Amino acid sequence: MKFLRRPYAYAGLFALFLAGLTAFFLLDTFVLPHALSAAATATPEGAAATPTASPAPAAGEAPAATAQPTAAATPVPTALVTDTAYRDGSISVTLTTLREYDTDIYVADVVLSDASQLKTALASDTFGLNVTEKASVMAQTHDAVLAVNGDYYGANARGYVIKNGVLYRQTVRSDSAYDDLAVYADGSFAIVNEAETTAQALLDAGVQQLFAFGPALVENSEISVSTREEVGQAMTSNPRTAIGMVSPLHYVFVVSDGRTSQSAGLSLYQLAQVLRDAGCTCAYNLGGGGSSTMVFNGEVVNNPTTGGKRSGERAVSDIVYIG
Amino acid sequence: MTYAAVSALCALFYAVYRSLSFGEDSLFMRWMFVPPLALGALPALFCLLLGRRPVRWAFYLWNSGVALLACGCLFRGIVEMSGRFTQYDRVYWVLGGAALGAALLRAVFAAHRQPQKRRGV
Repeated sequence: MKFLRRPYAYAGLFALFLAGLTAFFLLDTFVLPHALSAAATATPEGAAATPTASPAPAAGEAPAATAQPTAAATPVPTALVTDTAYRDGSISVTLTTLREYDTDIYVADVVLSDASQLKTALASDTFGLNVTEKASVMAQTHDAVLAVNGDYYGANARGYVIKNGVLYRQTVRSDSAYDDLAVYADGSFAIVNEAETTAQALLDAGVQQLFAFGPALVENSEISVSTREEVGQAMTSNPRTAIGMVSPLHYVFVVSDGRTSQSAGLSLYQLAQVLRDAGCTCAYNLGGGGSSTMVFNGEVVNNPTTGGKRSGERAVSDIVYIG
Repeated sequence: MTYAAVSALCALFYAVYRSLSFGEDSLFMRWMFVPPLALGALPALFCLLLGRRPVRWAFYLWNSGVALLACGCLFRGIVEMSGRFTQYDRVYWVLGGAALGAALLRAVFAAHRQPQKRRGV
């Protein structure tokens, strides 16, 4: 105790304690990966499935391989592939680059023959917090024709997570004022709120994908972003990612550049306008900023920024892809 | 003076961080300057005007409580402005409140003992 009577001895020790405590909390929140389970696949016939609580792989180790249900091999039809288009017997993607609001905007018009071709993938095929991977790597791993970053579920410990018909998390999100986007087995979209339903109820109702970012941009063909409630965020120009539905099996993926001298970025309202003008009846905002990435035929087509204005892909939790 | 300088530094830090955050904001980081100002500078001014010096351990604990609350605001602000959510900030509120409470108890105890000491002389 006599030591603590020395000038600044207590202050120095306490400062060390406070710095160490804060450093640990920051590391645990932003850096340290918490792998909770390997990615699972829903059982055939659309039955709901939940991932087993198998020992999660330690950081740096490859995740356990997920047993895939065997299926009869079907021949892949010959695909027409160009820089701006992809066509095969069941998937049609047309990529258009717009220049609006001083921003380069990449719009992918997607028509599918089967709703199961709209999928999501987890970083390293592992569900957990701070488990991330570049969108281009995930797209390559899953042979995606088109991929965009998802809802970055791994940034938060709360919020429903349903990916490819599998329920991973059913705690209500902290910012429940924001709605989620539900994608049903028939390919239709719906805007839902976690405070009004349970994750299991959504799964039982046939939801295959659930995105918890937001806000909803277009509902019933009308822009639903309120400039009154979201003045700060709505008015700020940033890189953006969004997904919209024109009709079941007809989708629009939008990614915009931003935070560069070439592209200012979009506000949420401007993003909603782009999706509405593309014919979307329902559209939803996904992770933006440095996360915004679009991969088409194996190439990153936009100019993602990370660490502020530095160009480069950011590692993300998950992607939405066509394949 | 130190507390006033810390308050000013907190306000300046928020202004700079906000300018680099691409439109994101946090009420916790905005009001980060309040604990050192309201719980530090003002009580210090009060003691100065009354000509009283705080008891050593009450002083240490009070400063610790203020530092914990300010640090909690900073941490919660960083997390919120990154678009995430955390519950770790509860540690700061609990420890900070406990430190402030312990400081008050120590000061009250010391004030109670002093008159008894004088009677014993």
